[in-house]
Amino acid sequence: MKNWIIKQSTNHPYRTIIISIMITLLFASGMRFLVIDDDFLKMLPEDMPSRAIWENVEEEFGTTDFIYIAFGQKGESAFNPQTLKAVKELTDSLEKFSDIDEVISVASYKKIDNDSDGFMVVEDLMPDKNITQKQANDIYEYLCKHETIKSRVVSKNNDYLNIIVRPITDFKVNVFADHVTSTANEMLEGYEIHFGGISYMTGMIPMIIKNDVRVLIIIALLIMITILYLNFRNVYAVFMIIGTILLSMFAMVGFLGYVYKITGSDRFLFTMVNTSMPIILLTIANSDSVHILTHFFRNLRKMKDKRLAIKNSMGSLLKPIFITSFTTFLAFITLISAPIQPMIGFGLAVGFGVMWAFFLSSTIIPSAIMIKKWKINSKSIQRESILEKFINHFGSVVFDHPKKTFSIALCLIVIAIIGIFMIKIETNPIKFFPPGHEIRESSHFLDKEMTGSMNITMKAKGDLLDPNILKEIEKLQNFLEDDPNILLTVSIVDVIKQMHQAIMDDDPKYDVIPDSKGKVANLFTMYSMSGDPDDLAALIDYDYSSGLIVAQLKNLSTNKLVVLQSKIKEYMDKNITTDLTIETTGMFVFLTEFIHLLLSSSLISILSSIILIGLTGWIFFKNIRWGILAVIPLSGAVIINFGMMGILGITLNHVIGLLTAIIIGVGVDFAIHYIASYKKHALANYNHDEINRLTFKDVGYPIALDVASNMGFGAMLFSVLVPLRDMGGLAILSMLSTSIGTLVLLAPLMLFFKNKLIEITLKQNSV
Amino acid sequence: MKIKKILLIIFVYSTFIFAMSGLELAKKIDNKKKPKDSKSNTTMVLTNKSGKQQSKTIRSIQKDDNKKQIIWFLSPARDKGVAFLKIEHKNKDDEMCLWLPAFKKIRRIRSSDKSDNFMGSDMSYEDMTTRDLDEYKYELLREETLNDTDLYVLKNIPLPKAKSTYSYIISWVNKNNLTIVKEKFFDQNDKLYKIKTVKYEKIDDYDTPTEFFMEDVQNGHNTKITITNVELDTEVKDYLFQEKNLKRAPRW
Repeated sequence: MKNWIIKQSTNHPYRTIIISIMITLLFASGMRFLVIDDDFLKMLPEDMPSRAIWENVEEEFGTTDFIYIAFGQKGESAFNPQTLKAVKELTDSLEKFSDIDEVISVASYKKIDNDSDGFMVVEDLMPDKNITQKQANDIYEYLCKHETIKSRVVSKNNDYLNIIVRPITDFKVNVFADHVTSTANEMLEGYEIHFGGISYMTGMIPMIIKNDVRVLIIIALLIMITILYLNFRNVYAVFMIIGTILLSMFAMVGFLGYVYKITGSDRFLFTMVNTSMPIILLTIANSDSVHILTHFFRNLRKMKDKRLAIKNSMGSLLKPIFITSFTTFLAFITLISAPIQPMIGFGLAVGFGVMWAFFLSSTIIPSAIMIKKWKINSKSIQRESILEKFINHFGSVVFDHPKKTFSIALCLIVIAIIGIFMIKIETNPIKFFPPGHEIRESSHFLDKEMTGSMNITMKAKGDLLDPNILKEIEKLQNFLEDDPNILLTVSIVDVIKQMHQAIMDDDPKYDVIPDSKGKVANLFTMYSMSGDPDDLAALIDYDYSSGLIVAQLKNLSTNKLVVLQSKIKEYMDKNITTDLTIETTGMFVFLTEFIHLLLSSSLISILSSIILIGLTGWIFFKNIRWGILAVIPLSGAVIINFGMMGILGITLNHVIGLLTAIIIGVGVDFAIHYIASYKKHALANYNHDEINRLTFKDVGYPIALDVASNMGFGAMLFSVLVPLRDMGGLAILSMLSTSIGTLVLLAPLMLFFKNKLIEITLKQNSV
Repeated sequence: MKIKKILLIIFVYSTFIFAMSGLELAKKIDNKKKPKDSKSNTTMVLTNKSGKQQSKTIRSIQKDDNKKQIIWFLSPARDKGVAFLKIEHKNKDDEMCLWLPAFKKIRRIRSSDKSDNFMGSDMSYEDMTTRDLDEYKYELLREETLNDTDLYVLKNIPLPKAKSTYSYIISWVNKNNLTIVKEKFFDQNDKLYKIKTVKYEKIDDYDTPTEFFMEDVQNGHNTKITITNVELDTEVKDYLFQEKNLKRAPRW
């Protein structure tokens, strides 16, 4: 089989290239079936218990994941006809969107007041968009009497107005965010505008990532091309590598399209997760071609015959590159167990892309080499590149001082293990944006001037006409408001107190919960005589048996939120004596659980990948020792990466969890190439020391070149998003750590056990 | 050529007829004989979008085409004893009074908003009142047959003085007795907002509505109103519509 494949390329290069490209294009044609879906919510697992509570609350009360728009002019009172006209017009415009359920603003509040004739008036706080300064002052005075309402819609210094936009329950978060931001930007020209809220962030992030990744991929590709050219010093060689990568990418994306077409499953939609597919394939897919070309150049230098050189290169590399591709494929297939639906499609597609990159590297690269006339005496073939010289020198150092080198590697790992204990598992969505970024600054503004832009929702169950239950809710709200992270709480209790005061001729002493169930019921009946049935629907259900308490939060990390949740639970356990029960939920709570779940599943995926790779190494190299050796550099790299994160204070989050897939994908390649080359040299009857040195010389340079070409991912350090910057930095670190794992950890280790390993190799060969 | 001319004349003439017929039909509906007053029991079942229901029963007396109305709540138990009085005024805000037995207090409420919902239902005060003929423009759109009933389809376009919350209303009018059996209400963005269907019974020679079903298609909420124990033209006196009568429901 191996010889047949090599023969196809060497004897029929044009035919092989045409057939390979045609099959690739056939796969790529599936791109037309690809369905791009930016809906962030589709990524979230449906069977999580917290999602069930969340959806139940949404169904009953509508969603509480608002977008906040604060606008105004610093230092100038917002209570003037012009600014109030702007808030009215924007409120009216937003209410027209079909994905917007409610807009809460000065312009949409109903006032319950007593007029001079003794009538209780239930009417719009702002009757018309064109009002006089006197009417503006009246609105201000009314709000001053109702601080809870005022703090929701007006800034502390009265210079900014806040508009809270609630989407419908089955909204597309990115479309909703776009509707709100574009309408507000268009209508509030001349004002300072701040947007916030978890819906805003989750809606904007996919767009930012897409724009960012588009630019960064190009920069990364340019860096990769430059480094490859500096080392190969041959445009044709660089063209072959980049061409293979691009063809693999097209086939991979088309494959996803076909799978979606056949299955129709949401798992195979092209989502935000899938945007990272090209980056990952770019890193992994170039490895095979780099190995083949470096071997070919070296063989051509020695053999002076391209046919012989390519036959020899492919003869020794076809098996290891198949194993490396297959193990990487397995690593991605483990994502099938991931909690995010699109990750299944992602794992399958990247797995396919890796195998297709192997197919193209084994067919197109040797064929393309065959059709080119190579100048054997050119500098690119005859002279070693700087990197090659450096790595050969590095190899001499390693084998001259194997114990020292190994000790240094071990020390690094021990330090990294200590670092692992320093890792903080934390996600704060606002910290996805660097200091000074518009989104982060707006969020801080909303925390400082308004009542924050995040919230948690508590579903209170019990007889909500019963004053005792209502008093317990009030106490819980007071307890929550004592927490420095909570800026405001809102519940039906606030509305009941307001109605109570209004019915008692606006006497402030009645700003309390009425003392009987009948009075509470009367208040609701009174409201129903003039209010919209949906006015209170966001706070209390139809039969008064459950209600919502919404706590407005400052920006929190997921960890602090978990602490807050347990604090609430503790309070409830100690203080609630009635039948009142409380369930905490909200998109932020749900996201917290989801991120932790994703992280733990990523760690499980890493472990299962390592085990699978060990097993594959054992099966292909027919001895468990080779399997163990194959996973050593990989495990070393994973430890170094996580350890460095702990030491450098980079918090472990779901993005980092995904990055580890790249480490595994690349790391395993290096170890398998090293083992395959070692076995080849052992069988060639070199002396024991020479086997190690020759192996290092054979694979050291391709590994180093592979790592160097992937330094393009340093481009990600310039991303807008902090997780992508971290990912860029860690991608570089992982490239270095995987190569260190192979060249500094595995190489000396195989030297120490050379006798046993050579004995096994020879024994296996004789069998 | 002659035939073309004749067809054109017929077309223009028929268009003219239809334009006239819209207003004429509205006038005919408006001129239909109505009871001077009515007494009835009403059961209202409110259903929200998740299917949860709330039921209310009231006793009501109205006069002058619903311009004067007094209501006593019979159920649910928590609302029993609550009473409501409404008097509409042509040129000023409507007056509403509410007796809240738990507070032993009558609250006078003023609302100028016709879009306010009546008793938390999907019926707004605007939906409950008879349309003033001169506040609307009418177009007879077509004639239809539905469930063996011949119908006129009438478009009602509110003029600015109507201060309506709707951009237009389409009414299906029974040709035989000129009762409105169905209406579709469109919001200011011309999007379908509500659908109302009405069933009638012949009581004392009047076509009396005995069942309404109003669905808010934009929020999935609906209200079914069933009217029973209807008494018409019982010579209800004006003095009944006073605050003092809220505190105790009359015997019947």
